[in-house]
Amino acid sequence: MLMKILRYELKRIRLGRLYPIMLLCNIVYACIWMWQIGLSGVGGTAPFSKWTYLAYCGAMLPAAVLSLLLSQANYYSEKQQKADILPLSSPYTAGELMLIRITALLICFLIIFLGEYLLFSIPFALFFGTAEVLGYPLIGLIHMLPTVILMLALGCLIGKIRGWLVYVLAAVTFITGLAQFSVPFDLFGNKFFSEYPLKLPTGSAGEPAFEIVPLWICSRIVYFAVGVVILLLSVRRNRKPTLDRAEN
Amino acid sequence: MKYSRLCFVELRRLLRKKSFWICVILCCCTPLLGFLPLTFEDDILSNKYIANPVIAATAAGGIIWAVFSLLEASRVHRTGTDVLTDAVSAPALLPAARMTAQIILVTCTALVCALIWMPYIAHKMEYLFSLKFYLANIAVMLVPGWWLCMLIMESLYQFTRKAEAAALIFALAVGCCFLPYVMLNYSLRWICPTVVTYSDAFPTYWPLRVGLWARIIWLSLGLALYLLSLAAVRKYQRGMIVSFLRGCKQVCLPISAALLIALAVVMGAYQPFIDHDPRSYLDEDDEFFWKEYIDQRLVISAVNIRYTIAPHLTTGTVSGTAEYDLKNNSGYKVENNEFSFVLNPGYTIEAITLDENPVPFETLPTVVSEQRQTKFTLPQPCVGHLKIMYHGMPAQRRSMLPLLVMSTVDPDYVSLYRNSVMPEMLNINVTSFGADYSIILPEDMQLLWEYKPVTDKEPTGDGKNIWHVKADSDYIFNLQAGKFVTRKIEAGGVHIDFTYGDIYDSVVEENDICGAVKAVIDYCSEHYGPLIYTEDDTLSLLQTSALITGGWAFPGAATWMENILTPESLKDAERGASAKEVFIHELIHHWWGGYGVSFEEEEIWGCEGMTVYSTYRLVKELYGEEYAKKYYVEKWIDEVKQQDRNFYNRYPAFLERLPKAMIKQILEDNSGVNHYSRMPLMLLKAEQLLGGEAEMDALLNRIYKEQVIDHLADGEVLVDYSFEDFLRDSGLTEEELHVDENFAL
Repeated sequence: MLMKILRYELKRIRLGRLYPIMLLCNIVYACIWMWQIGLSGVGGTAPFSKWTYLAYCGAMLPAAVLSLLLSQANYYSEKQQKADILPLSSPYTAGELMLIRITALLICFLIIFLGEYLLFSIPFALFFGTAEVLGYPLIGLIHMLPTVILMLALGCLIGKIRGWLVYVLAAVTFITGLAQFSVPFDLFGNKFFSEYPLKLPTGSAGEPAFEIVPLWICSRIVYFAVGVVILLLSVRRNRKPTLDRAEN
Repeated sequence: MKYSRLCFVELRRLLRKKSFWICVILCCCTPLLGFLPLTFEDDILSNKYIANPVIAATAAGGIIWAVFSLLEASRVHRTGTDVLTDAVSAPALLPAARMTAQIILVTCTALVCALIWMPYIAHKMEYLFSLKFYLANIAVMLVPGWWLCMLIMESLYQFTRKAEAAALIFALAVGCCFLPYVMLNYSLRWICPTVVTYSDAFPTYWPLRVGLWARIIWLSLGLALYLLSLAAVRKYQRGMIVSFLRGCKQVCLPISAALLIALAVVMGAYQPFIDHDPRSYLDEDDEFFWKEYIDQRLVISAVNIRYTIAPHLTTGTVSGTAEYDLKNNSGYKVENNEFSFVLNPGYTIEAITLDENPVPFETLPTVVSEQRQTKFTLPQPCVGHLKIMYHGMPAQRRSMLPLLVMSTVDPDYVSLYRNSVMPEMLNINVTSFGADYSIILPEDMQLLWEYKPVTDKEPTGDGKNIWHVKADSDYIFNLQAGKFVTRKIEAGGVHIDFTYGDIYDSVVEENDICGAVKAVIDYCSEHYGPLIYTEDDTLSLLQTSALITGGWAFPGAATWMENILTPESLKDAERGASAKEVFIHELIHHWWGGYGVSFEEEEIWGCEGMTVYSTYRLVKELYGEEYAKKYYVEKWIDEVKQQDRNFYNRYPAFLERLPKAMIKQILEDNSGVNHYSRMPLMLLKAEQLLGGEAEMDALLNRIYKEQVIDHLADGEVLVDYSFEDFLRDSGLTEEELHVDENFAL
């Protein structure tokens, strides 16, 4: 049954106008970034290096998060709140339904991620004949997924207070994405991977070998943990019997 | 309900909305963003207190009004009252009335904002403030920008009927305005036109003219989009496409939209400000038109060449007449009686006559590097009095923007460059005979010819002067006219005419600029040798408009940027290799450059590197070793390091797989680093290897003496000084001079 609801939510998102437009916007933005910055390589590294790929992920992350938050905001609109009486009549709690929606949004994120990964890897495989990029999705997911989970969890939390606050969170995401911090503990890391390699010594190939920055890994773990905790708290808050909530 | 009545109703309703007044307050605060040190920093007061705040307010305020417009557009659908409003008026009429009311209110808000900020800006700019210029910026940049944002956002909403989708597409469109390619392109940045710079001392309206033209184009497109979106307003609960097809039955909407789009396309295609050369970078085939004639014998010669140039300051145009007496002294018969010249593409050839008889001519459409070719056919034997009349607005070279705006005609300043002054003949011999120029200007303007003041003038009696210049060749690089002051300085055995805008006279006095000039001339004369390339022992130093970035050096003349003399620049010695040091750099080119030691331009060798090194040495003497190390040596090391680490420099084979434009950009960047960082670092290393500054100065002194003084004394032509010559003279090897990121003082 849960799978049915999940498929329904995915179908809703797919048939709505917002998600296809957002997917297209993300793809266009990715093309522009690749043309302007990606082909030159970042931080004195190769354009198909892991540094460049993570800088690319960091640049795409604000756009992806913005897209998901705008989709999530729909769930807290007045119309949706009224329509939720129907699913709340089902045996599932509001919290479980919320988790299903989050899962649907995460699947949407994975589609965006896959599209962006293909945009990155195919030109390099064609131009430079390198197969190294085939192993990059995992590191990209490690970079992007914790932030996405955290932002969606925050969206859940503040959406419960006021639906329009999710738009405020989206605006904050937009501004923070433009600000481009260059520290490992920032939310998007969209400038960190461009500048950090310049501080490292070069290897035999003339560029620094890719290394996992401990602070960066810690930041991902923290964001993931905080996001999961917020989600669980949100689920726990919605454990009241569904019919009682509907009547209230 | 009638449209006018609806407008009035919407006007009243909006004035009562709390959100409207919040937007007004926020918009009045948006100019503050232009003063943030993190975003904009400028010494030119017109940029700092007018351009930057107006551009910031245009962008930020546009976004605020776009959001407001979106909320208003979606309000009836969010509240479910569209059923009621559709019963009162046609579904498309209410959005149109609302948009009209919003435009009126937004225009009033812009005026209020301008009035609120005016006292502060006038106080800060003091004598430089011009009310007309200030209001022109508000009218051209701010108001249309806010209109455009509202039109686009509401159009997006009407098409998608999804507030989030409209906001996202709008955000994407705004984001595109800040891409590097768009930032440099005058026509693409729709949210606010690009203003390369303004000038305090030499006020120019060029950015405003271009901005107005771009504004009209984008407003036409925005209005067209809006009219089409009115056609797409949902009716009878149908979808977008069906509603749009039904809406197009009101033929005025699609026809008006089509006309507006056509207007925008025509204006974009025929914009007169920038040449239509499709290349965005300088190409080695720059002398494109000459190729066809390079091997041709020049049978016909032109003598008694006279040019009359009359800039029209109000319209920004130039009228010109070029007259030649054509003769055939070559002894050969004219086989091909088709002749050709190039002129600035902004000019239209009005007539070509030979002995007062019209001559057929054809102006070709191809534009290359600010030149357009005109061919004309003369009747045999192709001799007589040739007259070419032309008129128009000089167009800028696209590949030089936004760094250089060389040709502009303004009420208080004129600058014309090369083919913006007169035609250049391709297959008639004109170079051997010189030319007479007559330039007609208002009587309060001083003419500068090739950066030197002209004295020969006669009044016309109607508030103008005709300036006469007799030039040895018919080729001119630049003429300027404006309100200048000239001070005489004696330094290094040379008479120096120090010329600058009269606005800065008190600044020159207070900061002892003349003393700084003297210090540079004395230093270089002492360390390298006497200044040779003066004309009649005179050197002209000219302050140029901020529109011309950087500096130039010519025989007997050197220029520097306007912002060197601004109070902010002169007070701030912490800024490092800054505008003031660009001035020093350009002066030093009189020792290391085409008019001192001529350098062979190689990959890591050229006059720029030697000049940068010499600038570093002088700056070290003036400001100390720590200052010089911080702003020169460390910067050079950093740039060399970045260049060495660039992937395509390490693996050049991959470079060939990139698009041509990107390859060109990378190679140009490399050339810049090689000449401005790697070579000075190499010379610094040579100094260390030779044993110190005294030994290096002795070497440079010897090079200057042998390459310039001795050659001129012997009446010989100067030869280029190569890297090999330097290695020979210094006794060092190329391997010893190799530098990388590990270089240390």
